[in-house]
Amino acid sequence: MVFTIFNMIAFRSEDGAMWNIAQPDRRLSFTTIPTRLFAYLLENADRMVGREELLNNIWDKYGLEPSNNSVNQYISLIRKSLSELGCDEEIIKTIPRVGFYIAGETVSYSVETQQSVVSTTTTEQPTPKQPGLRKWYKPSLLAISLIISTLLVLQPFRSATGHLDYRFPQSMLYKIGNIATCPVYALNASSPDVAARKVKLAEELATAHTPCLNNEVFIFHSGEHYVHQQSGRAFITRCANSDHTLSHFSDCKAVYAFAK
Amino acid sequence: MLSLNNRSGKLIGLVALVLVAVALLFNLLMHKFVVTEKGPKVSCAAFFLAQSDLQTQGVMSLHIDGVNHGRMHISATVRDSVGTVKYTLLRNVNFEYRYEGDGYLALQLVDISKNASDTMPNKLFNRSIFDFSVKARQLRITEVGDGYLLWNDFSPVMMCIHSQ
Repeated sequence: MVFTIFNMIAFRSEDGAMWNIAQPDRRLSFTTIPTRLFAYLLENADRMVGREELLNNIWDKYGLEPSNNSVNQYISLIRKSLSELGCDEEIIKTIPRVGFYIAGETVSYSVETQQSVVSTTTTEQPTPKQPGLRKWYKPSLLAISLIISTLLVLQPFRSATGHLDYRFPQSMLYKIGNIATCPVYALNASSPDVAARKVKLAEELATAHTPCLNNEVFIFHSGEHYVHQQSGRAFITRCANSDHTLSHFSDCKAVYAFAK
Repeated sequence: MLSLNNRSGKLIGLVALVLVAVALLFNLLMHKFVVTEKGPKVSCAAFFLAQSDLQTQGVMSLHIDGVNHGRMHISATVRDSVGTVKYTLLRNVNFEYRYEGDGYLALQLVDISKNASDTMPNKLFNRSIFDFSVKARQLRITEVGDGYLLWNDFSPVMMCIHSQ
């Protein structure tokens, strides 16, 4: 009888031959005892097989005397052989203090040839693509964790590459009018009425301290209180802006006025 | 079925988990004990005039190292309403700072040193330039073009231009 395990491994109980279905040249043979043991477990798939039951059916029944650790040794041998043929799934599960168990859905069998495999289960068989996937998911998992770990380790050193954790916010400039030939910008948008008041106040401050000379720009800021009652704080700066793009300022003179 | 319920799968899963956990622990410890937030270095100078009942006119240079230390050098004269020089100001301020977001720096004064010719009363300095009457203060910096606006709690007070 040929058993198919996980749609990947074939095991022939008559001679103990086991091979990988996708790579038939990967093949090995068991001696009598492990062959008998594995065949017994496969024939009893989906059922818990006790240690005593195995000793009786594999050794006692044939007049053999098992040593203390015989079952464990042969189970290890079978697992190792399955792994060598590329099947890393835990086919034979050990249930501590109870025995061994092979899930029925992982096993199918045919009487003579591999081609006439009869499924003993009603569950859907794995697609042929899965062995390939299975082959790659472990290296992939390891590679992904390596990448994540590397990033986590390197991340604290990112400032060495000139990375900045923060920048100062950019103040926007809104044109609100002109003082002579110099444009006046405010730091926040305002209605035309308020803008006109601001330009008037800016002009008063500029005339007294920083008059428009040669197409410089003014930046003006005042609280609402100052705009309406001329008390509080107001700020004006006159800067040269040679490229007219508001990106390069020089020769700035600032006036900060506060009135009670 | 792709699962980790075989031995080598479990081992690889465990190795992956341990790797990520160790790296995460390293990262957290580095951030707690070694890494400090890094921001822009600023080195600029501002010509200013503070006008109230008195008029303070002068130059201030500001240097912050992008990590946690900064200093200001302020040089100015204070005149009364008829233009008579009442005080002179020549003062260096060293401070530690921490970025709080939206341009705000929390300043912790380290020391203020006055030159011998500095005659400006602290009270007037605190009222008309920067209020350093308490050890912890806030300074706000915003960028305008390639310059910086320096703000007190209420308003910009200086336009600081890159030092040559």
